Amino acid sequence: MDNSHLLTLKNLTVWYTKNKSVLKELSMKLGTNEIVGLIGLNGAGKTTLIKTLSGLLDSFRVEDTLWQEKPFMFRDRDFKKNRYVVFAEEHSFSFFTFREYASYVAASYGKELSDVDELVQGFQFEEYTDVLLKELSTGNQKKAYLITAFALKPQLLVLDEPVNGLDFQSTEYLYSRINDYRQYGTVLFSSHILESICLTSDRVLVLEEGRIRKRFTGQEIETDKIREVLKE
Amino acid sequence: MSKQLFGAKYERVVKGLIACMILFLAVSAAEMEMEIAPYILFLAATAASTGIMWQALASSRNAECMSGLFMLPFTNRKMTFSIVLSYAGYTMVTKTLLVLTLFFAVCEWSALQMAVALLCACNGCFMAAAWYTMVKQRRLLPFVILWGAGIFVFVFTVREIKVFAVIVLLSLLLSALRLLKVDAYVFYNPGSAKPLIRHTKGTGSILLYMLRYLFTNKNYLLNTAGLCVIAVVLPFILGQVEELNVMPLGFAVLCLNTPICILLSCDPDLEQAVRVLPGQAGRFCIRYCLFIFSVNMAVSSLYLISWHIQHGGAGGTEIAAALMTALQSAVLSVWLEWSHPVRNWKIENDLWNHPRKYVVPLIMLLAAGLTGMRPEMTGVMLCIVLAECFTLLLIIWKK
Repeated sequence: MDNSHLLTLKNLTVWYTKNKSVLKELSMKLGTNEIVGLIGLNGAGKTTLIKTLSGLLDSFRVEDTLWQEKPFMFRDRDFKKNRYVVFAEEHSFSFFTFREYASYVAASYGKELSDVDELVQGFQFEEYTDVLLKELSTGNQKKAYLITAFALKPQLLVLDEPVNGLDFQSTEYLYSRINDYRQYGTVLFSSHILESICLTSDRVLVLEEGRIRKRFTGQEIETDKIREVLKE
Repeated sequence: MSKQLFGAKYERVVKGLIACMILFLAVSAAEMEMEIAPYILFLAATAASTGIMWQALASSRNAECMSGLFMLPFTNRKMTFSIVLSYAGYTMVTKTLLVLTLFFAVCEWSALQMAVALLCACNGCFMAAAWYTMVKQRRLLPFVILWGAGIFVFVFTVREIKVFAVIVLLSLLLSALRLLKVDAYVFYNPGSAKPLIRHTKGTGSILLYMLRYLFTNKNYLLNTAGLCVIAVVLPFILGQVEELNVMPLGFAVLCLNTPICILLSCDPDLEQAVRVLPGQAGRFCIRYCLFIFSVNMAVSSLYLISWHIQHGGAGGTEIAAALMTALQSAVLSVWLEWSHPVRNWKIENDLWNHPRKYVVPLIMLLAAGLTGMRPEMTGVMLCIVLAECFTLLLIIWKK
């Protein structure tokens, strides 16, 4: 893991209705080439944080946002070109097949996709690459977006509950891909499943009521310790 | 279920009634008056309610929302009538009442005529529900056709309002009797397992994506086919007006293909993806604009050909006017979808009947009226469209 920071957020407050902030003065830093797990109870603000990073929300206030130590905003094209997001509930471009979708995304990012065949095989998706996404099951749709994400290899990969809907073998394969991703960039991913966090993350951020309540790194990342914090 | 349709505090009932009041006051204040035969009022009330109720019942999204409801233990008859009454109430309050208000505002009606119109609207809702259950049993299809034809014939032939009211009541009773017997699960559409079709030649083209979208949604395809028919017939009607140049009016009417202009509003997941991916203002919006323009232009071409065959005189200026209208409508529609998509709709019907859908057609009709009265405005309009395109391209390029 490199010491320089890929992304810095300082005092981010996000709200859907005024006077009821979902994220409250949240500050965080993501290093380059690290895996950061985001865990928290329902309503803690995980998806809101991911949606804000994706540029989907307008109602936020932030003191400082730095991308590779330079100021940026979430909707800046350069920032967008360096990150890709897979949402927990995603059914976009449902009239494309996986291959068409991947080709459209690659063109949007101005990049060539790599390792597609390997990823398709790893996620056991061979049968579905030429079927319209709308005709796929939830799990297979999720695989299509995850394969695109890993094949695109952006500097920052944001995954919102990537394990949801995946079968056992694909989940195992996903863990291995997340672990391998350090060579390409940083992964920020949220999950309710402690195992997925503990098996992959270099750092774990525990989100509670819109704030990062606790941080775990290295040897501290153990399911029992995190479970205790979540129970408190 | 009614809370899902009307909002947690039934706020949509209040909104619907306020909208009716505003419409009534606005039309009354404008002193718009028309002579309308009662059977037109009854036909409009029946057709609007039947159509909207059918759309609500057949909507796949609505079916998804109901899956939780069907999981619960329920009494069959109670469930059937809960569903029908909720959708009927929603159709009446938020949609049909607006149509009736417009009729009540532009023409004077007796209390009996107004009551029968309301009865027709109720009948439309219940009839649609009964037909929906009958269509699912193929052998009952002839009865649906007979029933529908019967209502249609009675609307046009029975002039005695009290007799007509009795016929409508009988139809309502027949619907209720049918609904008493049906299994509530008939309103739940679980979808069916289809063999997976492979598309191996696609390359991630947005135009292909939109063509698939158009051909998959039968309603949208029917709307476009309907516009093609109108395009052929319209010159017969408009050609009879001699004092004014009404040809641009036809182009504006033919841009009324509103379903294809709400792609992002219809599909929140697509909207989210388009906002998250980089460079979509250019990559997605320009192609979307071209798609709407092509559809508009295809329909307008039929209109031009039909006009030329019937009246002659469809030359360069007319082609330029068609191009301008099709492009202007496409640019405005995409700009509205990008900057003000319709969000927070409860069920698909909200979207299909949302007033925002009609903003662009209204602007196009006004522009057509203007160019019809003052032909020299065509050049000005063309300059405006080109300036819009240039500005938007500049914004996209700078982004």
